[in-house]
Parts: sequence; structure tokens; C-alpha cells
Amino acid sequence: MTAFAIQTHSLVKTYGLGSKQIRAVDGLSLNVPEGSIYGLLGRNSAGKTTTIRMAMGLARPSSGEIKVLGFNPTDDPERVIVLRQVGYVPEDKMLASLSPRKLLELNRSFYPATWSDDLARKVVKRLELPLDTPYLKLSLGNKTKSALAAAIAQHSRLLILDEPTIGLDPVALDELLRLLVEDCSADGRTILLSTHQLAEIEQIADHIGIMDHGRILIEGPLDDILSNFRRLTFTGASLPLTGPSILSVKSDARATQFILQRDPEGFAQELTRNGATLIDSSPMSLNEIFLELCRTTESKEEVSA
Amino acid sequence: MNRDVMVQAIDIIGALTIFPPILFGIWFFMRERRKSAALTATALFSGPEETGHSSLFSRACSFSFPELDAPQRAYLLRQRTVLALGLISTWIFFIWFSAGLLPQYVSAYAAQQPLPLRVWYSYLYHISSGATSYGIFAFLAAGQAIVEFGNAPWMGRFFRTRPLTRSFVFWTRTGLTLGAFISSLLLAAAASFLLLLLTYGPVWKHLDNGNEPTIANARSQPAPSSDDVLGSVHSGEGHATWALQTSVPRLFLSIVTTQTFFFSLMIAMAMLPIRFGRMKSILVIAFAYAVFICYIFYVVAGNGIPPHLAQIFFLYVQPGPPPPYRLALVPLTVSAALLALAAVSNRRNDS
Repeated sequence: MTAFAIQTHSLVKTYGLGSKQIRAVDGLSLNVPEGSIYGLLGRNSAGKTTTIRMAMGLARPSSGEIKVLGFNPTDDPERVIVLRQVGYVPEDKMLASLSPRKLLELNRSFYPATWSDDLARKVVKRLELPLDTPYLKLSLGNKTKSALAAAIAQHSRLLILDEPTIGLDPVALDELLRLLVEDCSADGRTILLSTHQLAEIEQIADHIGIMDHGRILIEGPLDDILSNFRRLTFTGASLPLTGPSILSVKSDARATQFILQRDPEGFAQELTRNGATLIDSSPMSLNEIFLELCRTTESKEEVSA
Repeated sequence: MNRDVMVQAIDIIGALTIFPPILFGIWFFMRERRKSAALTATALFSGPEETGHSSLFSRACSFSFPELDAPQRAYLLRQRTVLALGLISTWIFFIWFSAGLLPQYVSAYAAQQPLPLRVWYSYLYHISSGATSYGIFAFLAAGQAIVEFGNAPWMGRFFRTRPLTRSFVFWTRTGLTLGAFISSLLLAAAASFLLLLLTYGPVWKHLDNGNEPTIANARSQPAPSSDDVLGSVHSGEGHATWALQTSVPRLFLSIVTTQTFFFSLMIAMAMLPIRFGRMKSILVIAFAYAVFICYIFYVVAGNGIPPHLAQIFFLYVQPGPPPPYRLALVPLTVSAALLALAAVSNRRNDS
């Protein structure tokens, strides 16, 4: 049985009242396996940050359930047990208005049992973090690095990073990805990353979840998702337009292109048996899968509206 | 004789106004330099593990609160800044309280009255008339407390995501800030009283020396109104009556209870469990400001609030007959209720 670092069930978070009410998270069921590097993807306002804020106890769920490392992060004292084991980088990086050195020093005093000075030094060196620059003079990239250094050096069981690549140059981004893989995911530690950097996520994540409009569109091991999604192009008559494995269909005068979200081999065999001709079968990148899922969801919502 | 005493007062008050911030600046500069020097090329921190030193405050925290865990102790240590701000406000309040001892103020009242009476009246008048300024400091202190448990991006989110219960952060921060604020008022009062003793001696013992019939009868007379006193500046009758009727402990107790009420009101408003987005901040500030304006109106207009209402809330903002001690419980109870309400809201609020 898989243990989950974060698990939500029918999680809902609403803001506002009456007609102005917004459902930031709408019945979310998320499963972040322990020991995984989990990429939480989604467009702007998909509900990623709100979900993370609920996991950190910064926002209260309107309904549903959320468990972080088996505990409810909403109320004390379970919230404190969760926070002892979690490192966090917020979306706007405004964790505390301190110079990097002072932030590290302050954060270190809160986690004497797990804090690693060696890891702090390593992150500072590899990300080239200017330690004594006053907070107000820090660039966005350096604020990001400062928050990352503080969270990573905690050496916590779960690392929650909300948009951790904002403002980072390609070299710093590459160093960060290496640090996450080499130093943060060992010993069964879990990393949850919320990001728009799909190419980078594809390099390091082993699980992903794609969110839109507060709901999860797809979730699972990255390799399974990449192997399940496929673009198949057929010619022939009486080709299906809908089906359980079909995500979208595009037709022109010469051929029909199917985007499949599961069992592409079975689908291809069935159509070939029915007289269709497979003229192309190509894998899809995570970026393509993400775009296709978001567009399909959007068009479905337009139709239902 | 009088002239010598007044010159001495100027010297002492001037020295106490100028030297503390200079000494504080030098100490702060030296401390920062010492910390920088403690950081070697490889040392990331100037903390105890790497430098082998722990601060006096750190040792005091460990000794006084052995039952606290590491994050709680870390949070408590962080509150040194509150104590530092408390020291600064002590200095400001001290200057305010002592201003009434300056010769130009002492000379401004009833020149034909004896010096002790003029000094005592000037001293009491300046302390009581500063009520509006103390109110502003109470609001500032509340604002300073809120940044660590509200939704402020400066430090609030950091502490909300550390392993600390919300109640611990709320009560530690609120308690220490309020404690530092009240302590600074009381310390400043004690220091200014000491200064009064040093410069003019125990003037309150020489008010009723029987030389002036108006003074001898003052305690038994009804308190004069502001207009009466303004009209009798030259005779000093009003001053004498007010100075003799004033209760110094109750004057300071009233300052403490009133400022505690303002502090608690601001905290309770800021923690209201309502969400209007930006409107909430505006609403909080508008309401708190309205209450504050009412208070200032009372102070400036003198008796702008019916006297019985002022008594019930233990308001005592000018020399004269004091409200009974027992009524101090009213603003204290209301303040405690407001803080309890804020604590409940803080537990329930999103941030």
C-alpha cells in the first residue's frame, strides 16, 4: 500500500460570498506519494497555490479533507506536527523581509533537529546567493534563492515549492534541479513542486498532477502518462469521433488525427481491424499533453456553458 | 535660588534627551561590527554553534522557560526587537513626561504662586495632556504586534509556517508588545519622577504650606472647569485646586487602562473573521480611527464626553478629581474581552 505525503479528498476552497463566490479549489482529490518528486501543473488560477496554502495551514478548506504526512494541517496541534516536517517556499517568495543570512539564521533556530549547515553552505555556494544583501535590494531571483536555501537546508521530510524557479537564470535553474534530485529527494523525502516550467519538471519529476479550474485533470507517474498519451493519424472511412480513450480529434480532407489519453496500442489495433490505415504514431511531450488537456477542458466547458 | 534650580533642570533634561540615543547608536554599531567580525569565511552564521557564544537573552530564555521547545524558544528570542522598541518608547515618553519640568513651562503658570506648586502643576498637566500622543503610540504598538500573526508579508507568513501554535504566537507577541508598551510608560513615569526629585526636590510636600488661603482650601473645593482655570491663570487658584486634587497613581493607572483599551481594540479589529479583501483594512482603520477621534475630542474639548461616561471608562486626562479605583476594572475587562475575541479570530482566520 502506497503511503502519501499529501492526500486530499473532495477538497473545496471558496472565497467571497453569494454571486461573487469563487471556487478556487473544486472537489480536488490529489495523491502525492511519499518519496516522490511530484510536479503540480496548471494554468494561472488553476488552484495550485490555494491547495498548497491549505497544505501549509495558511488557508482553511471550505469542505473536504486534506492530510499532510498523515495529519490535518488545518488546526493545532496537528498543524504544528506537519510544520515540523515541511520546508516551504511561497509563490511570492515574501517569506520574511530579512537578508539571506538573517533568514537562514532565523530559520535554522526553528529546526535544530533536522537543519543542515553543510546543506545550507552547499545551496548558498551553488546558487551563488549574496548573503548580506538587504532584503529590499534583493532581486526577484535572489529572493527565490534565499527562500530556497532556507527551505532546503531544513532537510525536511516534505519540501513544498510554489513556483520555485521564478526569476532564476538558466544556470541557477540547472543547479536547483540538481540540488533537488541529489540532496532533497534521498531517504524517502518528498518534493512537491508547483510550476509552469514543464520542460524542467519533465527532467526531474517522477509523478505529475495537472490541475485546471480547481480540479485535477490527470495524475500519476510521469512515465505512465507519457506512454499513455499518443498522437495517432489515420486515414479511412467511419472513424470514431468519441470514445473513452480519445481526448481530441482533428480531421482534414486527407486524414484524421487522434489525441489519445490511454491505451493507444489497443485503439490503433481496433481501428486497423475496422479497415483504417495508421499513417503516423508519435509520442507527446509533457508540454503537448498539458496544452491538449487544458484546451480540451476549456472547449468542453464552453460547450456545456 | 529658583533660577539656579531651573538652569539645573535644563542641563539634566537636555543631557537625558541627547545622550541615550547617541549611546544606543554606538552600542548598536559596535554590536553589528562584532557580529561581522565573528563571521569567518566559512562560518555562515554568527550564532552560538559556530562562534561558541550565546547571548544573555538566549541564556535567560533557556533558564526561565525550560519547558518550551526549540521553535518556541526561537520565537521568544526573536522578540528582542520588541524590548528594543520598548526602550525607545521609554525614552520618548520620558522626554514627554519630563517636558513639564522645563523652566519655560513652569514659568507659564501663575507666577505669583510658589515654585513647588507651579512645578507640580506643570508636571501633572504635561503628563495628562499627552493622552492623545500615548494613544497614537498604542495604535503603533498594536500595528507592530499584528505583523507577526496577521497576513502581513513581512514576517507573518514566516511565523505562520513555522512549527508554532497560533495561540502561542498570538499571546507571546501581543503580551510582550503590550507589556513592553505599558512598561515603557511606567518606566518613563518613574524616571521623570526621579528627575523631578533630582531637580526640584519633593515639591508635592510643599504645596499646602498655609501661606496661600486659596491653596489651603483647595482640597475641599469643587473642581473648577477649564474656563474657570483659563480665567484665573494669573491668580493660580484653578491650578492649585487641580494640582491638589489630582491623584498621581490614578493618573498613571488611567493612562495604562486607556492605552491598553486602544491597543486591544486595534488588535481585535484587525483580527475580525470577515473577508472584504482590501475593504477590511479600510474598515478596520476607519473604525479604530473614529474611536480615536472621539477620544481626542474628549481630551481636546475637555469633558466632550459626559463626565459619568468618562468615569465609567476610567478616563482621566487632565489634573483634577480622580475617578474611583474600582472603575479601572471596566476598561481592563473590555480590553481582556477584545483580546480574547482577537485570539479566537486568529485561530479561525485564513492568512
